[in-house]
Amino acid sequence: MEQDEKRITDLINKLMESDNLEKAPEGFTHSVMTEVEKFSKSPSIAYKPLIPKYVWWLIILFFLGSITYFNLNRSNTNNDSQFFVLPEFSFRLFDTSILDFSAGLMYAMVFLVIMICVQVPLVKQYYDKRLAV
Amino acid sequence: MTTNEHQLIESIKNGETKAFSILVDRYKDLVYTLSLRMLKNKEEAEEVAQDTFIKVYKSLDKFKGDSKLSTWIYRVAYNACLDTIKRNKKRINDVAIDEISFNKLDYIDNALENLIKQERSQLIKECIDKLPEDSSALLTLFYFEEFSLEEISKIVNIETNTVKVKLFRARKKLAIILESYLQPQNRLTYGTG
Repeated sequence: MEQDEKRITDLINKLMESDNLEKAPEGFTHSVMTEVEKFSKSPSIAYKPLIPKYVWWLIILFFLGSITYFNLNRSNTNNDSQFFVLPEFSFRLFDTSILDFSAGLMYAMVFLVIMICVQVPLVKQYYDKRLAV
Repeated sequence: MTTNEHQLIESIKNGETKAFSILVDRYKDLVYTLSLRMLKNKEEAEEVAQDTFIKVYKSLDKFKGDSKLSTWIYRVAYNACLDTIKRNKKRINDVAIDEISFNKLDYIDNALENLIKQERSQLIKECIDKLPEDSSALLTLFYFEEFSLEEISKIVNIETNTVKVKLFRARKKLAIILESYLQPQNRLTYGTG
């Protein structure tokens, strides 16, 4: 069995010596460079996030602070049923019609936002993993 | 990663796009060969090879330099080919691995001796073209770039031992296809799926 394997390996090794690389088509580098030039970035327009990191930290702190504050208030008032009720929104358009958001719609929107927040890091992680070695 | 490659990457990151053309020239033939042998179509292979270099350019910041630059580029190319195959739902039928006797191997060996180099080269190309995409990719990476099994495992994202087994199977499949080519009366047809 091992002899068979060695024989096949030797035969293919010998055979592959005659094989050669395919040549990339004429003008291949030029085509790639034309595409690359389109979105090449010079240091002067290097990527800079719109919202700096420290602002994100402030937002996170504010968010955590709010949760803590509401939690403390909740334990003080001891009113569990009220805590999970989302505030009701209503917009007055041109003083003639009132646009009310139902509780169902509000919950759906909140869950949609949570879902997007979870999916974005997952998708990013997936592509990072594919490109990283 | 060599110092030369490191300098090249730094130049590209600093906005010198011309430096990127050096990188393209260095790796374009193998990226194109890998794409062609996996996709079995010249137009598709050219498109995927170009996309590979564009992806490489866009994601150069993500390359940490832990592995060889070539390993990373071929991984991007390999994944791009797999995506194209998946999108087009075009797969080559696998080759049944039958037992291949010593007599048959002797016959193949003798028949190859009688072919001139050019004929042999053409024959290999035709036979590799009949292999499934993963087998042709492994043979291309192993024989052309002389990558170690560990490096190939990083490119195709499978365990080193599995690469070793798959590489042997690829050799065996190639021998079986080769035999059918050298014995026209027994010629098998391996159509596209």
